[in-house]
Amino acid sequence: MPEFSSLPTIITLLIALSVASERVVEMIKGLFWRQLNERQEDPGREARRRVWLHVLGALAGVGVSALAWPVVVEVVPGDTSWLTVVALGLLASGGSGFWNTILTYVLNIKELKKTDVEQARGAAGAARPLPQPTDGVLSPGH
Amino acid sequence: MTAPPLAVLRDTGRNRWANWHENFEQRLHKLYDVWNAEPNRSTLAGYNGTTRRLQQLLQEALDTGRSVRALGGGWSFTPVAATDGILLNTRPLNYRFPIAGDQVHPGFRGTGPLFFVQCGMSIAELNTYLASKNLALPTSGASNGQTIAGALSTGTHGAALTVGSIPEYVVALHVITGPGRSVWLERQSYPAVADALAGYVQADLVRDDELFDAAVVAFGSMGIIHGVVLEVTPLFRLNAWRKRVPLDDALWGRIERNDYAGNTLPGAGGRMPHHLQFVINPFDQGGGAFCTVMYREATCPAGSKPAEPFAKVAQGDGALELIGLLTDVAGDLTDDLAKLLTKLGYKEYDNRCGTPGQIFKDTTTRGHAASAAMGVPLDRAREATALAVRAVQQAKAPALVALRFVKASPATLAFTRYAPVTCVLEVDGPESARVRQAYRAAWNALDAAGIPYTFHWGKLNNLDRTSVRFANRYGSAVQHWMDARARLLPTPELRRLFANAFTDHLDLSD
Repeated sequence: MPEFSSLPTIITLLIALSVASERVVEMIKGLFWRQLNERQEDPGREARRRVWLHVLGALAGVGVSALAWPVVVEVVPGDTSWLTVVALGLLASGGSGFWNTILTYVLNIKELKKTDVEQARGAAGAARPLPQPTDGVLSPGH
Repeated sequence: MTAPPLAVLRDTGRNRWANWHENFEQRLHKLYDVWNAEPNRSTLAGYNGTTRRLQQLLQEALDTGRSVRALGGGWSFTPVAATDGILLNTRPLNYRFPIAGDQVHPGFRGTGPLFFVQCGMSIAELNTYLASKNLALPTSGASNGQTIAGALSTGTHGAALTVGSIPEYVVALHVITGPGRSVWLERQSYPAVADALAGYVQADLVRDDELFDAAVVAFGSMGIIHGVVLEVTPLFRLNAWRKRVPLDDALWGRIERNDYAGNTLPGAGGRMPHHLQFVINPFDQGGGAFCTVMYREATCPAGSKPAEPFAKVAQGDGALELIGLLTDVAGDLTDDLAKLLTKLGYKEYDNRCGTPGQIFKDTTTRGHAASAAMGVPLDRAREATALAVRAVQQAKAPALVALRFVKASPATLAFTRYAPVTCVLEVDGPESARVRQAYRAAWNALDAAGIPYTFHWGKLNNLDRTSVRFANRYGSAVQHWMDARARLLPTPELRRLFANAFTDHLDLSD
């Protein structure tokens, strides 16, 4: 179960995987499958082109995640398996732009939480060390 | 006579405040940290200087039509202590004065030593302080971050079968009721300190059972509780066990009769439980409920192991928050995540032993948590528990249902009001839509079944001024409490000064 604090690390991993899988897709498109680079006039063919791009992106994501296995086991908390690789690959195929945006949101939320915590803790008196007064005597003159 | 050194009010510059469990945020006019003029030395002059400065602030608030509330530890799940006016962080106010033998009232009927402590002392601080003198608080809540005045004002309880809640060992209050007056309040039937002491803190001495019982649980609406006198007890140890046990007919029979003679609870060995709690995971009842039982001992029994924290995951943990988010999105995860919640927070153990301060450790984590607690008579506890469990199951809420048993309190608005022992039925989980849905379902089910119940003042509830849940449960006690408040705060302006949205909502402000 990832703690909220580990989410930025996981998202950063996803960004790296996304960038790498995008490069892989670009290479495949440029070297072996040039039609995928060209927008199609026919709506049906264009839809098929998009589907293939998604499939290619997902496969590239899974492949890159598998190659990054040593990093994945370090970053993803808990038990990891081949399902983790598939899941990360599919998530990475969302694109680095998408994950960059998510990372920004998460970091902003983290910052807000930090501010809230500091504010509430300040209000609870923890911002300054609390005094440790000596015992008093409950009588006049003391 | 020289004027006492005035307390320092430090304007925090903040105009919003969030409670410890982060389930609400309050906008406000000012938030002040209050510091004694001589914070490192408890002195009567310093104490009186703080009273005087707070009274000046009350005058300023009256002049500008703002309300004033003392914050306490910010532990409550409801805005019971909050105000949109002036909020005072009294946490740094932690003077302590042992009451000398010749300062005890000759008619004092108690046995424990007395201590006069300032409102900001936390339960954790008191545990440490008293343990250093081989003394202890008779009971506290399961966590220790509350201030003594805050815990008192909301009727905070633990699970002490024979002791009750925090108000039971507070024997005198020093309440600042306005710019020109403060009151030293004790029960007529249980006088605590010599008359002269009220004069020392420049307060009017009032011994009145009805007034005391009303003021002791008043959630800050009867003035600023500046100091309290605690009747403490010689330091004791709690020999603690936590095991899964079946909540079967035999055990329910004992609970309903409040009869634990010859019980077979974990580790009993012929002993009567001091602290008793059951936690039920509504999604995993096969192995029974987690029974936490503690036996009071003067010293740790031979062979016992050092104390471990009461719960490893407390309300407020980040894990709770994440569980809430996940189950809101995917309800099917609830079953597994509720199991995870119990796995994280409720590990079985046996034969642990420690002082109360060692058992009820610091709760330092926080997050969006939710907690509701209802006081239920023992003879309806089984039925109420079944309804709460069903509500959680139907809502697929990642929440646990807990039962604690607390001796009934004589405080007028104590929610632990069902004698001889009130069953406190708690539903705790992350702050999430499913958990809220479970609360609503549980409350509706209790209403439909005609089960009488009250709400913990510091926890989530759906009380309002027209609610039968409020008026019918407390009956004439509400009017007695209002009458007492009017006696302590004789003008509408003073009553307004210490009112807030919570008291407005319940029609208790005037």
